[in-house]
Amino acid sequence: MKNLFSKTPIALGFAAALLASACTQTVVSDVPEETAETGSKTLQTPATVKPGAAVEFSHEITAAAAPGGTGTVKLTVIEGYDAGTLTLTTGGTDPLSVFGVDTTKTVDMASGGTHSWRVNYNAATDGIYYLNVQAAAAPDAGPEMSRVYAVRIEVGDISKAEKPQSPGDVMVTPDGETIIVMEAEETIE
Amino acid sequence: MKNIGVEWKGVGRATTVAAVLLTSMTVVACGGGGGSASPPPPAVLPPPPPPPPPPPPPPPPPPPPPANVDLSGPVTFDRVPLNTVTSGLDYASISQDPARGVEVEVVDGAGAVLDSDVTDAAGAYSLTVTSDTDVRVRVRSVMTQTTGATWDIRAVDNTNGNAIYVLAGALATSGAADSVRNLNAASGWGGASYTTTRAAAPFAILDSAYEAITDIEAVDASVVFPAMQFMWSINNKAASGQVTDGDIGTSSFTTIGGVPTVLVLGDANSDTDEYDSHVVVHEFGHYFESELSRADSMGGPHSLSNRLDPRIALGEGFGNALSGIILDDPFYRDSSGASQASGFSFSVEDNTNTNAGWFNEGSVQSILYDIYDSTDDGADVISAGFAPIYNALVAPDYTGDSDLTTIFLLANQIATDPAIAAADLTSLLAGQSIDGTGDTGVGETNNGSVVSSLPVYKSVTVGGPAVEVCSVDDAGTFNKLGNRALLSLSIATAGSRTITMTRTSGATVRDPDFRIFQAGAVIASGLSATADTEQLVTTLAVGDYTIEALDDRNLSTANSGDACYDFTVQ
Ligand SMILES: [Zn+2]
Repeated sequence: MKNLFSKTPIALGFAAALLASACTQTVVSDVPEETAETGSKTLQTPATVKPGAAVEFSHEITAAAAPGGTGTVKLTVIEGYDAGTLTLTTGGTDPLSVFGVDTTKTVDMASGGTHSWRVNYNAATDGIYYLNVQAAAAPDAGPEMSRVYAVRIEVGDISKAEKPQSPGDVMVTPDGETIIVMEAEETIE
Repeated sequence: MKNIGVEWKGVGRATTVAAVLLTSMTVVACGGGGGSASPPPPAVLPPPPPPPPPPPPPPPPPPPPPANVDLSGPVTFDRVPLNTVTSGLDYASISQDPARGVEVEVVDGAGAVLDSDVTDAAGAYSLTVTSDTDVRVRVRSVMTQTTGATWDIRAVDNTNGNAIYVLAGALATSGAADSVRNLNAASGWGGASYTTTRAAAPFAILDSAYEAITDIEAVDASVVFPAMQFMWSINNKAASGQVTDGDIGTSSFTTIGGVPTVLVLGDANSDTDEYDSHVVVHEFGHYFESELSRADSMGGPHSLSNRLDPRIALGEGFGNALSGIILDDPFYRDSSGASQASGFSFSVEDNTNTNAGWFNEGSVQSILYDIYDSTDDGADVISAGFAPIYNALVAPDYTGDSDLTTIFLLANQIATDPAIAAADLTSLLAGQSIDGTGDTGVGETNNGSVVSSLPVYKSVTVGGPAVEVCSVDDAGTFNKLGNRALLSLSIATAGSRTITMTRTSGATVRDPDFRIFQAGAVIASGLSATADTEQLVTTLAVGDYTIEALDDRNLSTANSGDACYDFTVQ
């Protein structure tokens, strides 16, 4: 069971350059990409997606930011509803701040399925941060549902980024098994 | 592992009893040899005989054997329930629920394992160790059972080398007598945010899976669950990227390194799913369908109101229904947002579905839940429990069928169960606007406003006339109704076949592709990027096949469109 990720197969097939364009722009979508237009169209292990609103997100980092500078992300959501309202809320994980006129946006889903908007971001220090987007759909027919999307944002020198957090001490047992030790609430009688 | 602990415990007890008996006997012997009152001296007597030799000294008591003591107790975890109004997490109502079926071990100061056990249905464990020794009790995020129904299910941290989570008690002396050590995995909630270790999370996930495996075990006492894992981390976010970074996209089922894997979000203040037990069971349902039954779904985005490819409609509707069945709660809830305080819900008992039909996951879940539940509503007069659904899903007739997994194939299999009256099932299907019959939905009249979606399966014959198939984006792309046409093909004579798909009408510069399935497995594909035509020459054995024909450009929205094709097999 160990080293499952020696080659880190991202079987999800999510990170597809659907709209790949010039320069250093990053385009990412949450739409599973079964095939590549130019490459081999092998059938990947399908990844399921948990139930939620009928929305699909993608984004494009149209202006990357250095520490202290302002970056811009173009967000696109494609919704599959005929009518109703879609509320889109964006926010950053500390210390990434997100600003602009459209950090919260309500769209009329009768006006077509594709909605794009831009938000700006800023982080003072080098690192990897996340911009979170929540879409809450209130369709005229059917239940209200939501879906969350996150944009990974790299600011400056990401080698200075903090390592992934661990909820406890990562240790290797005498048997060679990697474990994360978390303290129990314990009573001894 | 469990058995070893029990045997050792038995030996330890026997040794202790023998030692006590031996000590008692020694004491009795000593007492019997003790002095008594002296007789009165005689008047005239010969000299007294020499005193008898002193009795031999009692044998020295044997050295006390090393005494064993038992450590026992329940293992619990903080279960954060869902608020039934907001569908957010309700931290004011946390309960300590038993951590069932998880591995517990006792280790010495160096971490060497001295004994192990698996908690029972009350979360209880029992371990035996030498008395007066410094030991620590640890609980592993692993559920195993090796006899009867078997499983090996673990929760690991994908962002820390797939480490197992271990809940550790203190290093403390085992003492001279049996003792109790109660361990609880805390949620880490500090009142307004998570302030300490979220130790309960992996155990909450495993406990939702425990509900599922034990409910399935109740229907099939010898079920063998292939090893699977949950990957959960506080770093697991809704971003695309590397799973080792925690960029998992969303909670989902997939296979990683050959291991069936459910990825679970853990991103506080955005989306966490460790306490969203319906989400966990839904994704476990995909594992079940993939590993114990058969899943022909292509995955991808879906929602209740979508008109879907019937394969994903079945898989997702089954996952939703299973979560209601296993948790005995028809309300599927998923929390998210700041402080996990918001969320959404829907009921799998709800029979009013937008876009009801054979292509709708809401229809599928309401049919399956109505077969299970004992509450009759709408067209539902069936109260058959989970067994008919389970038995159909694992039946070789179902898993080996040449047709693809849709509500038609599953319902037709369920209808063979003696507990199900076929007419009642037909009514249930009709209640969701499904009127096709048989494995392939023959005669279905509900096209979901996608004209080309009927018939559900078209039939193509070797050397027969061209069959028109279309790929359209009317209901969306990738996995929606009308994206992929299904064709049945019977091969009576083995040989080389030329299969051709050529655009005849509609949008231009399309990319027709097709895949040939046998019992759900792809055996040949025509996937060239050539515009408007696709051809494959391949050898087909005698048998029944299903062909999926699609426009590759309808897999994403960028270049999607509607076109039709002539499909031939020569
Ligand atoms: Zn699903």
